[in-house]
Amino acid sequence: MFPQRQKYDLKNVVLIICVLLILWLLMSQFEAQRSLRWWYNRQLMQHCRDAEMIRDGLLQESFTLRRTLELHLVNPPKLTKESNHELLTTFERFHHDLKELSDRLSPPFLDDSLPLAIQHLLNGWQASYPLIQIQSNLPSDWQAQTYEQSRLILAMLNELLKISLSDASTAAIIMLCLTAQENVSELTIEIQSLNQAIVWFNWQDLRYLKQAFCCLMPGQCSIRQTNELIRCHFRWQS
Amino acid sequence: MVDDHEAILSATIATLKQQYPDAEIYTAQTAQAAIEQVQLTQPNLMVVDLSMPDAVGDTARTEHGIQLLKTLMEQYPTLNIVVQSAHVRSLVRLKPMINQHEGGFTIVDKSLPMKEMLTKAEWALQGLIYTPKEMRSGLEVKPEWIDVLQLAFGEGLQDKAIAERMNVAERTVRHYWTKIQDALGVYPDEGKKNIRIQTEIRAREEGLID
Repeated sequence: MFPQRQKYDLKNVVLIICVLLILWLLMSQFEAQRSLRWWYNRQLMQHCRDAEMIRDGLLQESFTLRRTLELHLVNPPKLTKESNHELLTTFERFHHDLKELSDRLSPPFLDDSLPLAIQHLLNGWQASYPLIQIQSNLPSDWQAQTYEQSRLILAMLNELLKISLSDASTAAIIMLCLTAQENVSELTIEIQSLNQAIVWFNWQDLRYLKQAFCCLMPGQCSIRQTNELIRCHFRWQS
Repeated sequence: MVDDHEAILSATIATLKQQYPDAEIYTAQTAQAAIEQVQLTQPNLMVVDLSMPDAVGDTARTEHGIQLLKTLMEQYPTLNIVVQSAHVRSLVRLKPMINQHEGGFTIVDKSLPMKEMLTKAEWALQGLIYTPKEMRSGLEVKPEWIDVLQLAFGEGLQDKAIAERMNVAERTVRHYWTKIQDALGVYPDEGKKNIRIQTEIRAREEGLID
């Protein structure tokens, strides 16, 4: 009687474990789906912003250039120094906007050096957010990794900064360290807010970011957040 | 002339001045300023961008331009309007209102050459309607437009007689003509062709009249 009871208990335990395992798998899949959907939406929003930037910047500037040239054809102008300067300024702005868009579509240095690509990204953030202080420790030598991997790391870093720095008046210290040992690379980012608490509703975004990284990369991601500090650690195999 | 970009305003004003050297041109850079300007100046023609801020300091958005056009068409049903924009496709959501509008209404993509822009401005001043073909889904024709076509080309009536037969004002009949011509893609051709005959040819091609 007793061994039969034991066998029955064991069966139940196995059954419960199996049910829990299935539930855990389903939950993980659900979470992964949600995080990938979130990632996709973030990329989609960026595409919309790029399209807006083309419409409100590049297309307007090309319109101005075209009309100026057309008007010059109709009435050959006595070009003053001032009008020449205006035309040059429009050309420069046009060129600058195109370059910015091209850099966003395909970040510079990414094919050759992730550290340089990260530095370039940080320079852009520094220019837009004058109140942030960036301290970076990036290796000068870097063994090239696949473009997809480097692109994803850079995109993750960019998203992390977007989530953490809500507007241009945010004052923060950003510490960043990139290392590579054999075939494992690590990127650690610490963002410390100086003039406002990093808001808690960002936590959900950070969680999605972490899950999206784990889904898309052969690697791990850990994120710790307090009121004033976010510490994010990416680790991946190259 | 409503646009939030200073450079666009200057370029468009210079373009309009080519054609209309004596025109008085007023500018506005936000939707709210545009409404105030229209109230003050009652213009013959309005050239409007779509992406603009609602008030000073706001972000430029297409929705503000769309809302401005709605307000203008509601409050000034006979105002002649040219929409000059880099995203004219957004106007598709105003299609029913454009169809009801009694003034001229033309749409100019910012990629168009100066000459075409000036043509569209002239059409709007003449009270014509012009919408890009891609904004239409097939040939959209209203029953009253068919009546106008049949009375004009079937019975040979003139606008005044058509108006009497249809129990509408003569102005309404002229309004129907601009709608029919826009739907059929018939526009003035610098006086080279008779626009009514062109309309008849196109209407027969499309099978609207026998």
